[in-house]
Amino acid sequence: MKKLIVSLSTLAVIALALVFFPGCSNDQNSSALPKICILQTANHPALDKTVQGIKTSLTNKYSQQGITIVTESAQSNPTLAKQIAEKFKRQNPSIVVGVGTMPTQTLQATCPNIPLVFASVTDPKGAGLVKEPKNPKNNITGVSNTLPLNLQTKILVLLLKKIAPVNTSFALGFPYDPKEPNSLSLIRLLTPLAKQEGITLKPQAVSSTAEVPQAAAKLSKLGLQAHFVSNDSTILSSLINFTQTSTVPVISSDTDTINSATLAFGPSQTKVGQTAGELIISILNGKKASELDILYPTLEDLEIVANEKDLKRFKITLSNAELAEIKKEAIRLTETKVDSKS
Amino acid sequence: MLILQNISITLNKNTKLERPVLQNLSLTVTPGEFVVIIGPNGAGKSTLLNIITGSLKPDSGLVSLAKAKRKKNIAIVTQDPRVGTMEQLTIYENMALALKRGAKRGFKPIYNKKRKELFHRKLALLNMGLEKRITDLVANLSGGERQALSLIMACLTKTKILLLDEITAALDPKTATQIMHLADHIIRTEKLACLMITHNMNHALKYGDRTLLLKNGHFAESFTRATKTNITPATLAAKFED
Amino acid sequence: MITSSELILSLVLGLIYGLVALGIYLSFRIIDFPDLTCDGSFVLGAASASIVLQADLHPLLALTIAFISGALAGAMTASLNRLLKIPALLSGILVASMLYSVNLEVMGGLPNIPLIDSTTIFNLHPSIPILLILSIFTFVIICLLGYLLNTDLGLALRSLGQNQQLAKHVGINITLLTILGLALSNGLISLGGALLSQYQNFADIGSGIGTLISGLAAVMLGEQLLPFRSVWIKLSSCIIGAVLYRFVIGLALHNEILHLETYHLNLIVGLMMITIFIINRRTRRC
Repeated sequence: MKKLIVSLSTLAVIALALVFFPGCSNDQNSSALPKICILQTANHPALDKTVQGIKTSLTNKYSQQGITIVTESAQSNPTLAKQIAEKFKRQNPSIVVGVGTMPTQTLQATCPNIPLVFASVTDPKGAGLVKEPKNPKNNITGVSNTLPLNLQTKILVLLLKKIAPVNTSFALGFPYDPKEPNSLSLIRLLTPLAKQEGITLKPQAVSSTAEVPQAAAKLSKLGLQAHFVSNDSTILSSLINFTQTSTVPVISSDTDTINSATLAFGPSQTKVGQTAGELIISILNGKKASELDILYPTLEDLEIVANEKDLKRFKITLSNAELAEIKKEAIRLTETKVDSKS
Repeated sequence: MLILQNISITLNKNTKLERPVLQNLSLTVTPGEFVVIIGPNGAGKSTLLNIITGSLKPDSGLVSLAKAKRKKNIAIVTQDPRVGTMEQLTIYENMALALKRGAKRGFKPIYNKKRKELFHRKLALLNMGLEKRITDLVANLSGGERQALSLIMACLTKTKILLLDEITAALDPKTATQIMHLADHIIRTEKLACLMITHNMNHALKYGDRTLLLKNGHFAESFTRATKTNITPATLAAKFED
Repeated sequence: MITSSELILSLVLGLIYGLVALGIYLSFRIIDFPDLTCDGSFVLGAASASIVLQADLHPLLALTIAFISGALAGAMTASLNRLLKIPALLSGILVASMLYSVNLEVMGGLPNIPLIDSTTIFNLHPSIPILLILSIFTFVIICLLGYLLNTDLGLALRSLGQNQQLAKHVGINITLLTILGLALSNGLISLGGALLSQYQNFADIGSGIGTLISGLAAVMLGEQLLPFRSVWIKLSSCIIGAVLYRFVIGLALHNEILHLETYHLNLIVGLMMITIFIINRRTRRC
């Protein structure tokens, strides 16, 4: 009996502690400042840069004091994401922001009445976020983080021709983490496109950062001309390690990672974040999220950069003028293709 | 009835420890007979029990009971009361577990009136007051009480053969006497065939219809109830040596 | 700042993870098998349920299939251990890591399946609150488990974790019962995964992270707070422990009061758990 009383009273004390937790006062958004709550999948360089981009464009517009920005990381755990989303909901934010697919899905399910802006979601339709990229309807809009695939293919083939001028066909290593929705859809879409240009994609699954050097060593034995690394958290987290182990140049599709790769092209993740920031500003200015089309990086956002130091390792020289030429050529090839299609 | 015919077994085959344990050993235990086995350490007493229960397979020789039937027909009580009972279950639950020895365990609730009356009756035989503590955890019982409970549990279902493996070894002398007395009482009233291993020479002389000395892999000597009256514990122990 | 909706969320997640805690209780406590399959079987439940839901089949069928597939995974771990004599910890690790590939295969190679357009157990009858559905569900599971553990079969399961030698003596088939125990345990964990994905409206390959830890924490928290012998109280304490654990995380998320960052979360949760254990010990001693 005594045991029962102790148990019940302990439970009661804990319950009371929960209800009267210090700071239980409602700190609802009493001030008129707009409040933005950002939830990112995890802390890793590419996502951090996107978040940084969002913050930069917002503080440029409103100044540090003019806007409240809360950032949380779900630590790759969907259940934790749910609890954070619920906390956001109570804070009455003007807009919630999902950086990555999983947090965006969670925010959409948890706070359907708060405008939702996403960034770094490769396939918003496939993730069930929207039915149509134009006029998304569900109080949601955002920025995807990938360049059109045929453009990516053209750039890859142009870069490969510089890397291995004598070759007519190429083999391209593609390390990826099967956990990443982005990487899987990319393999599916890119393989046939690359084939048309004479590039054979050699995917290699890597399920943790610890396996990255092994994957590099294994891929290097396949007689490749280069590696291609897309927007994949696991690989990007240990990109420098991968590049150092690799015996062929590494091309990354994230220009912010150029210090850890040989070559990089694409929209910078910071820029993706900034574009998302601009969508947020439009909504704060009275636009409805559902009226704003989902944005994809444009040809103008394309940057191609090289890591001089690493290029030297492979005895390749690529001047800035040559890179600019590749960019122009890739855009021209892509546009003629679009024209010929239509 | 249990018949062992020409049993031989060698343990740790093909190792440095290879050692023939039992050689051409034969034994017949008739229904209702109480046989006591004594012998020096390493003589093969435990090996013999393991062969009877079926957990060891002899290299040659025959055991009369088919292996499938043994689970149902052989019950064993060992020297460690912690092995013979489940500490974190109640007396009732322990007995319910033993009640289903060799039977199918299905989705019938363990608690029912019939079982409760049966367990109560069996525990009352012990004169230890355990029937009043039927919902107590076995962890709260003394060593003697637990050994008594394991005896009751072993005989709860219709067994044909009861194996007792040094059941008093871990008990103080007074409790040991009490438990042996109890075991003898159960064996006699239930008319069980019993095979008991003991190192206690007094018990070896006092109990059992027959006492066998196991030495060098076979039974070296046999004493009937009549011949045992002329032997003292000291002379019996001396027979271990030669 | 903890609000009623956050309390409800903790309750909902607590009830879902309560199933995980029950599964862990079955393996770690009842049959005393340190089973590490759970991180894989949790996702397996989410994956198999979501493909059933995507095919527009009934949510109850999805839950049944999730349970069965989880049970198969558990049976696999038990068989590796009992039949092939692979150590228990390694068997669990092997199956969990193989399940990673299996789960991706089940999900058609996709790491994330949206269920936003599917009929789930929670929106089948939108008028019934989610909390009520889960409470009924949990109640039924506890009743079934409590009944089972008090049958001859359940008693045999309980004996496995205590004294395998005696269990053998009274004629219990240890291999068969270990398989049964782990199948039941992982079936429940898999159900938890299936419910979580339906609640969140997506199945994610990463959702298995921390399943074992939150399940074990829930079991032990429950045992600390309600140290009673009755099977019924032990089962209920798993659920109470799971809810409390979610409360603790919910509280720890309000770390902005202490001017801490999100990445301090695990540290705060750990410290709060330690505090609960200390307070509980103290009050019991005096």
